[in-house]
Amino acid sequence: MNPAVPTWAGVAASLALVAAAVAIAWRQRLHLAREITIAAGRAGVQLAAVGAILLLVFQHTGLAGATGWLAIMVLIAGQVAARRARGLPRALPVATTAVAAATGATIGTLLALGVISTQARVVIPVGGMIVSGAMAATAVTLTRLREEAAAARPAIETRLCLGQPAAQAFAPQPARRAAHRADPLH
Amino acid sequence: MVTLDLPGAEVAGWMTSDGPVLFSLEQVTVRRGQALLLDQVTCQIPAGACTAVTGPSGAGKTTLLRLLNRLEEPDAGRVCLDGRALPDLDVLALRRRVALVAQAPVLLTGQVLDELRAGQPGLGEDQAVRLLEQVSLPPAMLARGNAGLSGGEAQRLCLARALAAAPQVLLLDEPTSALDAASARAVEQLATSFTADGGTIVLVSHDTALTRRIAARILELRAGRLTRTGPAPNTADLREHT
Repeated sequence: MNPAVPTWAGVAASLALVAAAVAIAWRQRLHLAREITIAAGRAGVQLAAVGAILLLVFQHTGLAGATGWLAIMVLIAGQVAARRARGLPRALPVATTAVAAATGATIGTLLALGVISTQARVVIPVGGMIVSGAMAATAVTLTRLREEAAAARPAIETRLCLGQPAAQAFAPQPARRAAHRADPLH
Repeated sequence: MVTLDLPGAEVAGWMTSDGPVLFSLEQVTVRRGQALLLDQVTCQIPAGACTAVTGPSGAGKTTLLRLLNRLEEPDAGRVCLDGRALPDLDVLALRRRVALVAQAPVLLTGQVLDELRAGQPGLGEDQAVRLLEQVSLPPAMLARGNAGLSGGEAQRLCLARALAAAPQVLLLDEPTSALDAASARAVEQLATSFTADGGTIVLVSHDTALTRRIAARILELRAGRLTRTGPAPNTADLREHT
């Protein structure tokens, strides 16, 4: 039995847990029973659809298909990160480029050094984790950058008024602080 | 809708009643979100004189000031300097030629001399001393740190920093709001001598007495609209807005 593929018993157990959650919500009058049911149904449909596509990719497309899959994930991750940094100019191309660069460099290194197999069933989950991490880091960095720009606005405008170019007026201190704060170890 | 305070308000072409036109605003509108900060403002600002922008708080005075060195961009209309639209000019050169001194002083460095050099890199100590004297700050302050400066001293230091770049135009936003009477007089004398030397000042101030003394023209804004423009405040009905 492939442990990555749920059995019908496992699916039944999951549905039983959803039913229990709906029952509790209904009994406690939480007014969440309908939302839980809809969310569970939607998740089931999405998982089935994604699973079917992944099955096709795994069986028929190899590394090229995995690369295409990751490319789509990068585009979506770039949009999500840019949305969190709303207000920054050119956030979408910057975020997408950042996620793509991080993902490409990491997965490329892992593949080149033979750390992971080139099979799609390996590349896609590992790549997915890398894309997810890169998206989170990009979103945090852009958000911090926006906050720094807002906080330092008087100083930035003062430098602009003294005839400094925009990049010089903004950098280097705020960007360094933003990068520093984006590091979860600090 | 612009109401002109004629006679002597606007003269067609590139002259006003006070001299050649330096800035001209043509149907300038500025919006921020739902707020209309300036509404189809058309006016001219003469060279070599002080023009006061008056009006109640929130009338759009500071926005108008910020348009003149492109810290703000109009949503409609255009702003011209010497007949050329501002976007056609090099913005860095424009900002060194048209210096803005904000209402709230912002110091960028830790030392007074470094602060002046932020306005003009390579500034000599003799030049720095002269700048301090221009704004009635003691030369001994040059070696001091910025940390202990009072609000009034910081405001005058910001003015000196702007002057370090030898601008042709000074945009002053409430330059005397944090100053005592003596310091305010010094700034007033500086403004007077600046225009006497051919410089241009655009002044935003709630200090009606100051405006009456140094301004050759007024532009009155209310709710983003130009409601009055005309010659010297002592001949116009300049209202108190404090």
